[in-house]
Amino acid sequence: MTKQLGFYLDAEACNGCAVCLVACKDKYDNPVGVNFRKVIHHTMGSWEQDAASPGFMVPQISAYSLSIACNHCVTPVCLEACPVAAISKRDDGRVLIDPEVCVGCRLCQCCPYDAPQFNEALGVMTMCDGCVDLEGTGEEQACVAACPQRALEFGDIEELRAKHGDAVLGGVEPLADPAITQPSLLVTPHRHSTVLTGRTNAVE
Amino acid sequence: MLSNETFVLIGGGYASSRTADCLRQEGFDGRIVLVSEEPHLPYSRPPLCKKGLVSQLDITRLPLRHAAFYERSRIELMLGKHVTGIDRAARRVRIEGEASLDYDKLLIGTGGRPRRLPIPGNELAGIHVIRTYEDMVAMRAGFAPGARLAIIGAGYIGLETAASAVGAGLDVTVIELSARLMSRVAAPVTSEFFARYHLDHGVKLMLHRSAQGFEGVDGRVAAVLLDDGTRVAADLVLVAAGNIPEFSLAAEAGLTCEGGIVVDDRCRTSDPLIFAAGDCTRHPSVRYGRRIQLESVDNALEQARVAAAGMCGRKVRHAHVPWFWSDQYNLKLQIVGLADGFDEIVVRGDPDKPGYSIWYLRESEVLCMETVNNPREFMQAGRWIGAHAKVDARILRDAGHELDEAVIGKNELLEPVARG
Ligand SMILES: Cc1cc2nc3c(=O)[nH]c(=O)nc-3n(C[C@H](O)[C@H](O)[C@H](O)COP(=O)(O)OP(=O)(O)OC[C@H]3O[C@@H](n4cnc5c(N)ncnc54)[C@H](O)[C@@H]3O)c2cc1C
Repeated sequence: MTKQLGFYLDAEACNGCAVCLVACKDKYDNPVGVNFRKVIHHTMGSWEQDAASPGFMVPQISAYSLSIACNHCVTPVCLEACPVAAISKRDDGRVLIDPEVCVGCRLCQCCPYDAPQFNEALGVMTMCDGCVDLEGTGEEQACVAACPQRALEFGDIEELRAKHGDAVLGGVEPLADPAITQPSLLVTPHRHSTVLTGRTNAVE
Repeated sequence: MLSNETFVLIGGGYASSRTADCLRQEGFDGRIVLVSEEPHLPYSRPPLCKKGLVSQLDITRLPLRHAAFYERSRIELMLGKHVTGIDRAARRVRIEGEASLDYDKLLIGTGGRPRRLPIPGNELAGIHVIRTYEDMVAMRAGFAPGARLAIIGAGYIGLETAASAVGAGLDVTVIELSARLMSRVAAPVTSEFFARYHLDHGVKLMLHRSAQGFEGVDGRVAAVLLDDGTRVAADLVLVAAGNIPEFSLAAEAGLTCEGGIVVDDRCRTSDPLIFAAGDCTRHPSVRYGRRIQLESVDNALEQARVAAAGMCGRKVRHAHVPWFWSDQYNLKLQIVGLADGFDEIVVRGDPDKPGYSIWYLRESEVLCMETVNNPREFMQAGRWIGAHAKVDARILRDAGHELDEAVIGKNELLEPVARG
């Protein structure tokens, strides 16, 4: 494989507004409950005793948001689980579901990112295709274009990596261990987040 | 559906895990407890005899759903726990090493166990079966290039293992009782097609032979002895001679069983509070009008969907057209429907090349279709079978015609329909 497309997310900039999700839903006309993109709000910490003033509790809490869609993984488990070969990985690294072949068995829900979404009315699985229809137009993906924080980008993962030196490949808490599927997801971590390692190389 | 009820699901396979999932989709808000004797999250079995044997594939890549899903859906998992009994009067299941668990409704999804051969020497080391992740890991340890592997049984699992093993450089012999491969499930044309493929890849096929015993050296298997006196030297043996449905819990609890737990078309057992799904059941087929037992992922998933609806008091019938698949080399065999009762077989395309399809008809109605590497025609066939479509065999036979041209009347059948 020569190329690997993927998303970049600046988790410092993302404020969890979910405009990306809405823009995506609009574009694909998805029914309620079907979300190609999700915004995860992650909170950690708790209220703790204030050492300075005994008896008083102070919040030691931090939170951040992550906007996540299909990570067009290098080793996608959805593709392996599909019994009818409806899922394929293109030369550009996109992982796509062919609705003409999908039997709607939902086995691809083994995805640790919950990317494949079952469309009850169509009887098939659907998923982020990286706005493949815009290929060659120079236009940005619906989610990328909509983000008021400019926190999202889509492109060749190596180019994104060169551009965002501080970003980590594979993700941060609470996402799944990147060793499982080698996600093509580059994240500039929020200052409070734990970086997950395990993603070894971008392109194989 | 606010509920303070507890639904207990026995088993950690496709049937139980999908039932849990569907119960939440149905809106059931009570407690769901899934009890499995396996120490893993419910996982995918097909890779165990395919990719699993020839790569370092580990359990982290196999779960059907990840841990976060069960947490999010409030599905309690009791893993590595064996259920030892069902007390129907008290509505309680007994669990080894744990307090008993009370249920309001129960689902049995205990699957099946591999058949072992009652022949001399079957206790020798090096003789394997594959049903679980641990079985796969044990067998993989013997997968070294040049090792001699004898496989008893040329069904899906035997042949998939053969394909994986020969690709990994093992010396593979398949021993089969009947005269052709996959004789229980596929047409002779397909048996021949696959036989040629296996032979071309260096697999040795010994058809019409039965294993009579194993010969061992120092407690390890050294050969399989056949009925005609042949001795097949082996370092490793896989017994892939079918499964026995696991219904002992159900039988001991007095539920009606006939080689499997008898369920109706809503997956109810003879106890209205107990449902069953998957390989452990025998069920009536609405489409084919008889009682059948299927061992497939598709059937387990579909019965789970029906059972979950039933457990929530919704009447959903199991009227689905069953389908199967098998991956060998770069071939994907797909079968949809059940063939018996056919009066005509049509071969479409060149039966020497992937892409052909075989159609089983009764009075022109499509009953079943099998194909290699042709998922689109497979999809279309499934729709036609469900809709009782009739086809013109002469047009169907001629791959120069588009498939759609073969259907008689009923143009609405050509439109993709919702299959939810
Ligand atoms: C190697 C292999 C390859 C396969 N390939 C294919 C394929 O390509 N296509 C296909 O359609 N099908 C395939 N199958 C068949 C498919 O895996 C089964 O049909 C499917 O697993 C059935 O699901 P189930 O939930 O009914 O049973 P299972 O998946 O067997 O699950 C039953 C569960 O119940 C547990 N259990 C049993 N008794 C107890 C008890 N007393 N207490 C607690 N837990 C208990 C078991 O440990 C197990 O976890 C394959 C099977 C194997 C083994």
